[in-house]
Amino acid sequence: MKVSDDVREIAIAQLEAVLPSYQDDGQTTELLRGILTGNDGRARVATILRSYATDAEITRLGQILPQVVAELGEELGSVLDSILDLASSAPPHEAQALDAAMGAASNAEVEQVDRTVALIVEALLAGGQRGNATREVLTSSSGSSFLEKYGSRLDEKLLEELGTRDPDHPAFEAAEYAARRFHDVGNESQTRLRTILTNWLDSDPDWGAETGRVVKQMSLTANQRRPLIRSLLRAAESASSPSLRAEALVEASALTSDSRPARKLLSDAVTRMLRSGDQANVEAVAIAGIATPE
Amino acid sequence: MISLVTSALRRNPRRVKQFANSLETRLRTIKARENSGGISRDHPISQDILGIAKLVIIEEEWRGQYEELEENPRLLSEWQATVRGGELEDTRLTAFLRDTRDITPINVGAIVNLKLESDELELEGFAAFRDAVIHGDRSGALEIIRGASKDAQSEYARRLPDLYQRELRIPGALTEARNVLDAALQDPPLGLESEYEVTKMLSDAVATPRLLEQLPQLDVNRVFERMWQLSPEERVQARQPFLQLAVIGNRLGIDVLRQVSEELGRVVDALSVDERRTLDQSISVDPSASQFRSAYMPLFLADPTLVSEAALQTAWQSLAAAFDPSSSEFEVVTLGFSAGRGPGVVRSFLESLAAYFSSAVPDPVRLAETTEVLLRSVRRLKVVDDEALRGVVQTVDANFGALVGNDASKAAEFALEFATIVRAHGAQAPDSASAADTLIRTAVSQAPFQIVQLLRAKT
Repeated sequence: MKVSDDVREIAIAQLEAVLPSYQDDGQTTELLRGILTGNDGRARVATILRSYATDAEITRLGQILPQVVAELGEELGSVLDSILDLASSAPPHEAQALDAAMGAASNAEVEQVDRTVALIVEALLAGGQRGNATREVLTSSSGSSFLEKYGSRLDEKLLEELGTRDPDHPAFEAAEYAARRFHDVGNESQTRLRTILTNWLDSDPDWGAETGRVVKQMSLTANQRRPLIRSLLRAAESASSPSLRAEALVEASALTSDSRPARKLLSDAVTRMLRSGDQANVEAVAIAGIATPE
Repeated sequence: MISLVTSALRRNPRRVKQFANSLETRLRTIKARENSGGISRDHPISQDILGIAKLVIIEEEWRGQYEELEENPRLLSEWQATVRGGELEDTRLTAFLRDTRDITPINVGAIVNLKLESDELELEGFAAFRDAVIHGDRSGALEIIRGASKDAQSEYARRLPDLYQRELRIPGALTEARNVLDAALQDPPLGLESEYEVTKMLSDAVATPRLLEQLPQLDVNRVFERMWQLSPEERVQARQPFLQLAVIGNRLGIDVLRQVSEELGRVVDALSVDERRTLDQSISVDPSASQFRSAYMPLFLADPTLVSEAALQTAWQSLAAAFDPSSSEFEVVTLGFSAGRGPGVVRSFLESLAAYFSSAVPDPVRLAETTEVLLRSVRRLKVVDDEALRGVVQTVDANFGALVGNDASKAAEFALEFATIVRAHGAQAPDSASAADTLIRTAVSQAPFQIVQLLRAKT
C-alpha cells in the first residue's frame, strides 16, 4: 500500500480533530502515537500533552506520558516544563504533577531532571501535608523508577539543602526521610546527616526529641553514635523546659544501651544535672525516669 | 507372397522369375550383411521376407519411386497413408500399395540400402525412437528411452542433432526436422542436456526460413527460453514468426496464443521498433481481436501501449453492455486508459464504476472485491474526468460505513490508498482531490485506530 505524505498529513490532522472525543487513556495514547508519525509529530504531540498539564488532567497526563515518552525525543523537555510549572503553581496537585514528571523523566535523559529533583526536595523540606504527599509519591512505581535512576541526585540535593538550612528552621521530616534512604546507602551521607543534626541540636537544644526520632532511622556504630549522644546530653542540660530536657535525656539514653563508654557519658551527665542545683535539671531527670547513679 | 506377386507382376512368368532371382539375391546379401555385422544380428531383418519382397517388387516395377525411397525411406509409409483414401500419380503403384497394405517392411532403410545406420546398430530400438521423434510422438519416444538400460538412456537424445541435420537435408522433411527440434528442447532424457547443442539446433532452424515459420508450433516457452542463448540478430529473427499473433491464434488456437503473449510480454522491452510495429499491426488489424482478447492480456499487461484505440473502443462496447471487472474487456479498457487511450470513454467508465460500487454495497464479498477494482481502475487513468471521478469518490465516502462494517482494517487501508491515487490526479481533478480529503476524514473518524496502525506501520 502506498500512502502519500499529503494523505498522511490530512489523516493526522483529522486524528487531532477527533482526539478530544476519546477519554480512555489507552485510546488517547494510541491516537497520539498516530499523530507522532506525521511531520512535526513530536512537536504536535508535545503541544497536546502540554495542554493536559492542568489541575483537571494532570492525573491523566501521568498515565499517558510514560507510554509515549520514548517517541517524544527532545520535545519531552517542554512537556516536563509544563508539568513542573503546574507542580510549582498548584500546590494541591503538586504530588500528581511530580508523579507525572518522575514517570516521564525515568524513561528519558532530560535536563528537567534537576528541576524535578529540586521540586521534590523543596516539597520534602516543606514537610507537613505537602511533604507527606511527596514522600507518598516517591513510593509509587514512577517514584521508585525515578529514584532508581536519579536517587543519588536527590540524596545529594537533599543533603545540600538540609546542610544549608537555617538552624532556626530545621526540617526534621525531610531529615527523617533522608535517614531512611541513607540507612542502606552508605556512611558518607549518613555522616553528613549526623553533622547536620548535631548542628541543629547544638543551635537549639529544644530539638532533642526530633533529633532522636531521626537518629533512630539510622544504623550507627557505637563510635558514630557518641557525638550525637554528647549533643543530646548537652541539650538535656540546656533545653528551655524540664520536659524538653527530659526528652533529650530519654533519646540519649536510648542510644547508650549497648556501649559502656556511652553509658558512662549518660551517667556523668545525670550526675552533673542532679548536682547542678538547677531545679529544672532535677525535674528533667525525674521525668525521664533515669536511675540515679550511685 | 502369391498375392503380392500377383498384384504387381500379373502372372508374367519372365518377370516373376526375374523377381525371384532378385529376391533371392537380396536375401542372400542381407544375410551376408547380418553375418558380417553390417546389419546387427540382434536386429535381423532377413526374416522379414514379405517386407523385402514388397520392396524388391517396387524396385523392379517402379525404379524412379524406389530411388526416392533410397533417399527417404519414410516415403513408403507416407505413400501407404496416401493410398488409404487417395491416389498417387502412378495408378499401378497405388493399386499395388493398396493390395499390400498389410505388409509393412520392418526397416525400409536397411532393406533398400542393405545396411543399418550405425545408430541402429548401437542403440536398441533406435529406429523406433527415430520414427517416434520425427512423427512428433514424444511419449512414444520417451517410452523407448525408459525401456532401455540406464546407461543407454542418455544416448538417444545425444543422437538428436545428427538426426536433425539428416532431416534438414531431406527435401520436404521440415515437419520431421521441427519434430526433432521439439524433442531436443524437452527436458532430458528425451531432450538434450547440452545447452550448446540445443542452441545450435535452434540457430539452424532460424537460418532455415520455412522451419523458422514453424517455430510457434513448438513448445513456445522452451523456444523463448532458448532464444536467450542466440545472438541478438538471431534472436530478432527467431521472434519474427511469434509476432504474427492473429495468425498464431487462428492456426494454433488461443492457448498457444496466450503462451506467445506471455513470452512476448516478458521481452516486450527488448523488442525493436520494427518488431513493435509488426506486433501493433498484428493486434490492431486482427478481425478476431475480441475473440483473442483474453489471450492478449499478458502482452497488454506488460505494455499497455499495445492496446490500440480501436481495441479499447471495441472492448468498451462489450463492457458498457455488461460491466464486469473480472472480464478481459475491463482489463483492456483500463490498461488502454493507462496508455492514454480512450479519453472519450473515461466519463462513462467512471459512472459505470460508481454504479457498480453502489450495487456491491449490500454484498460484503463483492464489496471487498470492488475496492480492489476501484484502486486498479483509478490508478490506471491517465486522462481524468473530474466530475465523474468525484462521483466515484463521493459514492465510496457515502458507503464507507459498510466497508468498515466488513473489515475496518481493510477499509482504512483502502481509504488511504484510494485517496492517495485520487489526489495524484489532483492537477486534472481538483474537485475529486477535495472529495478524497473528505474521504480521509471520514475514514479517520470511523476507523481511527486502524488508521493509526497503518500510519505507524508505514513509518
